[in-house]
Amino acid sequence: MSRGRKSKEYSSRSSQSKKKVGDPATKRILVSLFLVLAGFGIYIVRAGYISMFSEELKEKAKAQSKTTIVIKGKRGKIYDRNGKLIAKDIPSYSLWMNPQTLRTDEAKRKNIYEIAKILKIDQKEISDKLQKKVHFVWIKRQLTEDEFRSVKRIIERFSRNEVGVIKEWKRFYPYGDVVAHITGFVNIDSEGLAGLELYYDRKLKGKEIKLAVLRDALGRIIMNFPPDEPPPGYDIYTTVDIDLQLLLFEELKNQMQNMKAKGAFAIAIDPNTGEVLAGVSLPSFDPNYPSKYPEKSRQAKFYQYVFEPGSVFKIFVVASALESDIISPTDSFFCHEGKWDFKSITIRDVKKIGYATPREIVALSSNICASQISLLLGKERLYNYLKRLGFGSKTGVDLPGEESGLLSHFSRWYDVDLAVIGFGYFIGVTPLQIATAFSSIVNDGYILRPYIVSKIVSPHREIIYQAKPEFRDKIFSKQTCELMKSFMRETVISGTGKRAEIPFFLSAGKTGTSRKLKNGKYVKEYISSFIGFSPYEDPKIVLFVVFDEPEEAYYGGEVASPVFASVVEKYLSSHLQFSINSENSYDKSYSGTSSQKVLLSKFLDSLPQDKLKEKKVTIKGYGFVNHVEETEDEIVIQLSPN
Amino acid sequence: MKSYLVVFAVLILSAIGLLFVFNVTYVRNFANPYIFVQKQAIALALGLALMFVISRTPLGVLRRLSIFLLVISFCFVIATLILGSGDAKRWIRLPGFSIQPVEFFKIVLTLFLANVFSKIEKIDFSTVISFVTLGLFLSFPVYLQPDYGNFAFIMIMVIFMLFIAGAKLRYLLAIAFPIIPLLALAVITAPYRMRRLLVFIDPWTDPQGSGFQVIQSLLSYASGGLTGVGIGEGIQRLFFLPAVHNDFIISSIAEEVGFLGIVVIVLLYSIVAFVGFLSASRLKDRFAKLAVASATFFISAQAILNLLVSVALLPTKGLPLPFISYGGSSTIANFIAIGIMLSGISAEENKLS
Repeated sequence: MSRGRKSKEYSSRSSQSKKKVGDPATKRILVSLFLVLAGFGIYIVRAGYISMFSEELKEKAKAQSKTTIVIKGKRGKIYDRNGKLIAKDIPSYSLWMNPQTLRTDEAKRKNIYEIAKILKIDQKEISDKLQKKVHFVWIKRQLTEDEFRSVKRIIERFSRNEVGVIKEWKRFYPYGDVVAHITGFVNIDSEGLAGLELYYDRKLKGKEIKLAVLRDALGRIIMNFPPDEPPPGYDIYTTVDIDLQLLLFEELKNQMQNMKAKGAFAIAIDPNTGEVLAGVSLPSFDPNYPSKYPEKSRQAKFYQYVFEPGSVFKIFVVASALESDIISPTDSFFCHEGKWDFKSITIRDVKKIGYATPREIVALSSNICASQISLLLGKERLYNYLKRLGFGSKTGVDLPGEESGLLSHFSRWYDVDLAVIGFGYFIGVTPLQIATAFSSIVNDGYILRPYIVSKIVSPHREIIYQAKPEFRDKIFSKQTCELMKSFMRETVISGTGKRAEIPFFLSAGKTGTSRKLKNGKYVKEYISSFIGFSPYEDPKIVLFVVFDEPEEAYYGGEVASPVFASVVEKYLSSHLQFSINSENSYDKSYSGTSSQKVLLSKFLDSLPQDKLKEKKVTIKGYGFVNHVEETEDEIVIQLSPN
Repeated sequence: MKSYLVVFAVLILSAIGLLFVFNVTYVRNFANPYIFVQKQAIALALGLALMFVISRTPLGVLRRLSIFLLVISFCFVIATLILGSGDAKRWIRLPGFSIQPVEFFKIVLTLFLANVFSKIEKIDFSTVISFVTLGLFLSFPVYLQPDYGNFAFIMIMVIFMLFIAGAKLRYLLAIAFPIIPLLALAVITAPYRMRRLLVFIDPWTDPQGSGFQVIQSLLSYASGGLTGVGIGEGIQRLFFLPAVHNDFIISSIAEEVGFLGIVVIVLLYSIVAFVGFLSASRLKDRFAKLAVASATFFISAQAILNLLVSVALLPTKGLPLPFISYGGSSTIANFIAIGIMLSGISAEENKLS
């Protein structure tokens, strides 16, 4: 009853107000707007206070952020050009403890010391760590499988809040010190510090995750483990031929010992593409344990060492002079019988020569005549050629810390400087610069950017990068190159580089011997080198071999040429393959001179043609036909150099 | 003009949401770090499409559909109790995704209530009682799921609708009294709620348990400071165990972009609230008025509740932050609410012109 009366009252009132202000909802809606804005206001005030004025919370946030650790995905692998592994991650185990829960417990402390003893950790180091007022500290990072097994039993005595194991990845370089300067190395946190590891760090490294190391009021650790392993990094395929690298490394090391040299380095590239095939720098280091070797051994001298190249440089001076028609191959130069006073200096030759053609100047390596050609070229023209050949600037190889060498502007050259540049002084070069410039003569005049990574592949097997040869400049005509190659062939046949000859494939090149500049004086300490290419008619490899301060002998022809010949011969012969297609013509990958090609093809013609079509033909070795073996489905032709 | 402002605000909020959903989830799921962001992007696209369609639909059509939609969505909520899996039966799992029917039920309920209240001239005490009872009945399955956050939110929506429909404040206060013993009962029957309540009063009593999320949230604000530690630089996201991409996403944002970023986000929500309520106040049609106001409240109230939880001014509830938190169903429902707002605004603008 009363309710009914009441509601009547209200309804009459509400209809009254409705006439005046319309729908009462309007007012209530505006009140709602006010309330909502007030709600946002309260939040903003509170959030502002917490964000900016609460020192206590800031301290706590800071303390918490210290207890995170980073777990990384497996780092990408590095392969050589034939798919052989040269760097990969292997599992390792990292041991941590929580000193807060261990410090007061005598028995547990004893166990920790026992672990330390087995892992050969210094007693003091462990007791220091136990004193730390943190909840997480590494006992030892990256234990090997064996080390881990030896302490596993003791670890099991602890609860998982006291001592624990986190699986990490450790970098492993199966070839040790052999490719150290190319792969580079990583630190304990798997960050690339040198070589490809550094240059391609962002591609190689696996995804990182941070793990929160939480603790409760009692200091017990609650680890926030990821649902699965973080994804690995990208794999890198290099242009390096690990077999060549091994060969070069061994031969270089032997000769270095024989010659009692301080160091040795070499770089091999494919002159047709710019691919780096091998790079060795001695003394080397083991990238598995980089800190155990002196820092100096980590310098990759084949692209980071700047030196005066000496006579190998004559090639570029003579080629430039031929290209610009300053000299012709039939010109004759007077070589002053081995001693020529030019301005303030005296230039000497090892072999006393009277008159010589450019061919003889290169083959016999006359300093006097090379400097005359240099003077004929003039400062500006020579400078421009050298600049275009890449001297004084980086080659752009995909390795970190490349040196650009020294090539001062021609306006600062004295005449004497111009003269000595002719035989490779007053200029600073890296071995890679020499090899790159040299390749342009071998490949009919093209400057290529040397490169070492051929492709990068994602964990899902997608190719995300594929390298291709990069032509930068065309410097020499084919004619100039052919002439220069024949001059360098002459060096090997009758000149200073006789020991660089490679039977069957034939080689060509240039020797170099330079004195080192120490404290502003040229001393009797030498850099002996040889640069060459082979096979002569179809160049597949350019190899530059350098010895630093050899003592037993010092001429490049004596010290470096034999290593060149031996390495290149073995390399080419292991790559000699003939394949025969059904049309019975044959294709070669590597082969010798035309005359030898003819010999082989004549031999193949002499075989019964129907047999050749039916059976697979394999040709092994190189040289001349030694014997033929016939099985049910294969004909094996064994070749031999003699 | 007004519609553009609202759409602009909502799009920015969604973009911020997408960025941070990625930011906080990619560190967790390695098999497919983009899975959350992909799902959220799909929900955003669906939501935008629905918003567009609804904004072009006259409100009268929605009004006629509201009772039908309410019945259907209510059936789905009940279905979760049968089909739902796990401890909290909130989702209906389908291949590739799952639906949280309560999110759709909430927005449909506001539409239904706007329809009903637009027809009731006077609201007396019996009306209040009967609607509160109806609200309790409709939200009971949500309570059973159990999803107390949404249960509470539904009751708040019912009371809000009674409020703007013109119920006397006295009546509303009167029904507030029995809530206290009810709350006490709820706390006693489920002890973890007691813990939550205690933790709310002092989160540091149990920093590893219930207070954990709240403490980590506060620490996030503190380490963010005025300008934040930088996007992608935050580490607090590692400490939130399951809820960083939905309920506590604002804490991660606070850490990475700081107080200034928070102010921007609140301004964007304020734009939505301002435009929505002002438009509603100007509408002549009572249904349109109530529908637009309730849609606006639907967005603003969820935002406020979520934000206040993150600064420990309310106990942990499990309500998402509209447009920013990860969650397909709630994102789509929020866009439906914006669609309703836009439809009302355009009706108003048409009349003016």
